Amino acid sequence: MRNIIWFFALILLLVLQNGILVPLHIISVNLVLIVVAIATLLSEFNQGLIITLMGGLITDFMSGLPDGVMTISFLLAFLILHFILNEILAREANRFILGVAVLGSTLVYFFSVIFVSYIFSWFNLVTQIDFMYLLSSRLPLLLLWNLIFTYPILMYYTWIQNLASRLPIYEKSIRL
Amino acid sequence: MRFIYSKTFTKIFIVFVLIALLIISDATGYIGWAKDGFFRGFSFVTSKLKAATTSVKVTFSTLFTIRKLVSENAKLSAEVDQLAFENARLKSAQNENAALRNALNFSEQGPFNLLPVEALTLDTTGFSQVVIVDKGKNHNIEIGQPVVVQPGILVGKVTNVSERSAEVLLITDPGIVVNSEVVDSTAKGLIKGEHGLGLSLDLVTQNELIKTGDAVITSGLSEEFPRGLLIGRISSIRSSSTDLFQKAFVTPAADLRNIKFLFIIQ
Repeated sequence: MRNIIWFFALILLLVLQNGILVPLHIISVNLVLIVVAIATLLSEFNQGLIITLMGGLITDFMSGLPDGVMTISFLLAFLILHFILNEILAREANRFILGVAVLGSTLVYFFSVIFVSYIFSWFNLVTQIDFMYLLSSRLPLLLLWNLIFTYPILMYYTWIQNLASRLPIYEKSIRL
Repeated sequence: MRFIYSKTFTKIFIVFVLIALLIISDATGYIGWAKDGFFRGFSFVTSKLKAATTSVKVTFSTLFTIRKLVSENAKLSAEVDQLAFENARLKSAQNENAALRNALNFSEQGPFNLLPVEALTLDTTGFSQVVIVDKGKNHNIEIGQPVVVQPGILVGKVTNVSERSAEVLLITDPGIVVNSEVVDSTAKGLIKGEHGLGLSLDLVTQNELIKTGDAVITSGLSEEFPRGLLIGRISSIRSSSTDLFQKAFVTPAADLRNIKFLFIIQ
């Protein structure tokens, strides 16, 4: 039940991104990635993994790249972030760590997409990607917009978790 | 060694196996039906929200630009008069062309066979310039078919086809290279996308004369795109006489950020 709620929550997020942000020409933002970063921080591993996979799959359908590129990129971002935040830092989440988590996951996601697309191009599944242009133009905007939308998406995440909280779930809190 | 036997490793391994199955299913087309259904439902909801957002945006932008409307109206009226005159002149040239072709026993260029399609959604990740349209193999759409936004303005080509939907790669994506020709000087070059920002015209020899405002069309040299499709107009020249080739920026003729209805040339 919880996973079904999260599935529709992620689709709703993409609908809002496509329906409101894209007509306003705010294209360099990835709201699903922000949810993944927050889930890494605040959810258990299993729950975060499921959210990551669902988000990656839905984003794969929407993107023009072959299916699998976005899912692998989201997964790498989740796993690397989970390892750093829970094994190395292992501190209680706060605003600063949340912001750094979003920025870090954006960076890992971005470079993962480039890397995975490069591997896919060996099998002629992807056309060329201009790495230097994306690095100089898309990445800064992606980092900026993802940071701007972190707090609203945190509120959205909290609201969905409360909605799904009818099922027993262990949840960490965040100091704001 | 311990980590390999842990539950976490098992979960991660299963996840990567599922992703590999997803990649194989997508490459072989088995999940096309799932994507078709998803696009239709998603675009139905998104289109309502987009329409509402666009109307709010237009209302606000109209308030801010209301002063410019009078002068813009006058400018557009003058442009309409000029275009009407040019249209009449081109019709006359077309009749003359047909007569000459007939006299020289050239085969007549038939009109394009156009299939109207509607854009369902576009790639929101920003890594590619792809539009999903609402028709696929069930309407005989094939990979490589050119896509126009009006009968005559090129926007891209079909790169992937499912049973009931297709992916169109826009010309602003660097994955598409178009053999082009500048109308006034017949200078040949290559049009390449600039990641959604515009187009660049490259490999134009230095002895060719190109200038700002010139129209650029498909040359038809490759079999990918038929000759004569309008691509855009040169907005600026960005090379010097010491460069080996001339380069220019080209503004696409179509508004690629607000695409709704397209035509596929079959």
